[in-house]
Amino acid sequence: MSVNCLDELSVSMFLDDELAPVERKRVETHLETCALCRELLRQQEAENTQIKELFKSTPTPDLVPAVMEKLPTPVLLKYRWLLATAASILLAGLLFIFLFLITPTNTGSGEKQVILCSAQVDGQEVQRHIYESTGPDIQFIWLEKKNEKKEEFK
Amino acid sequence: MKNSQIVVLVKECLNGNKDSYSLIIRHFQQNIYNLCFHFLGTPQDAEDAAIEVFTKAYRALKDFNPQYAFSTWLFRIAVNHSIGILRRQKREREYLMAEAANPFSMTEWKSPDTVFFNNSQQKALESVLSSLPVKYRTALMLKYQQDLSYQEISEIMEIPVNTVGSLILRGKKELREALK
Repeated sequence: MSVNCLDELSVSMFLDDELAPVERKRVETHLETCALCRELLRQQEAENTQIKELFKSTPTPDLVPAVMEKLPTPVLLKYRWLLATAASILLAGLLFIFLFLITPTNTGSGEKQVILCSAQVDGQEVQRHIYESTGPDIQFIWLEKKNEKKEEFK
Repeated sequence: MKNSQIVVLVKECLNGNKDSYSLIIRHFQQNIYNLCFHFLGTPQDAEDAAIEVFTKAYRALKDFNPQYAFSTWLFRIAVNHSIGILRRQKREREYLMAEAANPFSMTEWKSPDTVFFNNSQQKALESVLSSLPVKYRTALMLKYQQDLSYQEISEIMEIPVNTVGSLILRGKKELREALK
C-alpha cells in the first residue's frame, strides 16, 4: 500500500457518488493502477449490496383508510388555535372560581372550619385547620404559624 | 411525483381538501412503512408508527416550508417518531441483548468479505444491524434503503453534511466489528 492509496472514506463516498468531480477523477485514476484499492472497492461494494439487501422493502399495507380516519376535520384543524385558546380561557376561569371564590373563609351552610390541633413549634404556636364543604367533595387542610398561611389541598 | 406536485397537494390540504392527503400517503407509504419497520422490527409496530407519522405530518402541514423537499420533511418526522418510540420502549436494550445472543460471538473470525457474501448469515447480520447505535442505523437506512443523498440525510438527521459520509462508514465498521 502506497502513500497515495485511497482511504476507506474516499472509497465509501466514491461508491455513494458523493465525491466532488476533481476528487472523483483522482480516485478513478488511482483505481486504474492500484490492485489493493480495487480490492478495497470490491469489498465495500459487497458490503453495500448486503446492507441494501437487508433493508429491502417489505410488503406494505394500505395505510390510507387508517390515516384518513384519524385525521381531524379541516375546520377543526383550521381553527384549532382558536379552540385551544377558548379552552384555555375557560379552564383559567374555572380555576379562578375554584381558587378564589370557593375559599375556606367563604363558608356557607353545612360547611365548617375547625382547628384540628395546635402545637408549639420553635416556641410558636402552630394550628392545624381543616375546612370541609358539604357541596363538592372538597377538603382543605392548612397550617397557620402567626400570620403565615400554608394550604394543602387534599 | 415531483416535489412541486406535492406542494400543490399540500396547499389543497391546507385549504380544507382532506382527500388530497390520501394521494400524498399513497406516494410515501411504502418508504415510511419500511423505514419504521427497520427501526421497530415488527409489522404491527411499523404500521402503527407509519399511521402516526402521517397523522402527525398532516397536523403540522402548515409548518412545512415549500422551498424544501416534502420527502425530507416527512422522513425527518418519521425518523424522530421512530427514535422516540425506540427510546420509550427501551428497545435498544433489547437489541443489545439480541447482540449477546448473536451466533457470531462463538464463531471464529472471518474476513468481512467472506462474512458479507454468505447469505446464510443474513439473519445474524440483521440482528447485529438492529443492535447498532441509532445514529449509525439511521444513516445506513437513509442511504441504502431510501437511497438519499448526503445532503438530504444531513437535513433529516440535522447534522452537518460533511459528517454524513463518516457516519455511514463508521456504521459499516461497527457492523464488521460486531460480526468478527
